[in-house]
Amino acid sequence: MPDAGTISVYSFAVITVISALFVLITRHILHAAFGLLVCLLGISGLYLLAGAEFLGVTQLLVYAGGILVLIIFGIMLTNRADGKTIKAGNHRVIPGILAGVAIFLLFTQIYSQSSFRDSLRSTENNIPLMGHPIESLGVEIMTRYLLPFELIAVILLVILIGSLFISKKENDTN
Amino acid sequence: MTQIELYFLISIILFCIGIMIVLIKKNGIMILMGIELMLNAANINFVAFAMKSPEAIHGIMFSLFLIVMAAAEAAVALAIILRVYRFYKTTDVDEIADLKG
Repeated sequence: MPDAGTISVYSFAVITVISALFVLITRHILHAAFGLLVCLLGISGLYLLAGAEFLGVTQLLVYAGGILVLIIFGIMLTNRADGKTIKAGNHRVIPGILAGVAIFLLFTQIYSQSSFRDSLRSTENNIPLMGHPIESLGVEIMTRYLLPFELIAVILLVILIGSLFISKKENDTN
Repeated sequence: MTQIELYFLISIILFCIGIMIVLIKKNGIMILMGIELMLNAANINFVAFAMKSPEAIHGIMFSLFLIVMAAAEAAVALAIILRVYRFYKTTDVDEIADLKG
């Protein structure tokens, strides 16, 4: 009888993979956006079960709360809502599926021949009981990772202002 | 199958589904969703290795920075898609072929 942690990991894995497949096979673009939402929630659960609590909560806030809303806004702004259902067509279906399967086989082959495989299998996981304390994360950000932290803040500001500039209307310039 | 191997498997599957979405779908926003899936696959890999590492904080820190970069990338991509839609009145990447040689 597997314990509750194993059951939760496997159920989150199944939820994630099935909703990602739903994004692939659906032709309705809003349904695809909600499938992506379920997929991101499943990934957030996987982070929580891997002992990365802060990362799981960040995934919920930034991906499920921010990027998904941005994507749905994009869908609303680029598809004329004239009563018809919003379809997203496919092209090059056979070469696309062949490429995906080929990359899957390549990656599994690389993993099965990798040198770190046996060492991963032999030892136990290093997950601390209480997860990684947020305090040590904050201390690391403010000491060793201070320069990347400031740089990513500046990059985010520049990119958001730049995307505003790109997407503004043409006749607003004069 | 141990937990870390399951995480590798999920990461590979998500990456392949993302690549298939990018190659197959016509709509620009669907292509953006495929790219998001591939970024999440990379993040799952970082977290899986952080489970084994004695200094797990490095993998988690890298994933945090990657999430911020993904947010920035989504903002820029959606701005470009909006601009293209306003110019061509479509987001179908097959119909935007003015630069095709």
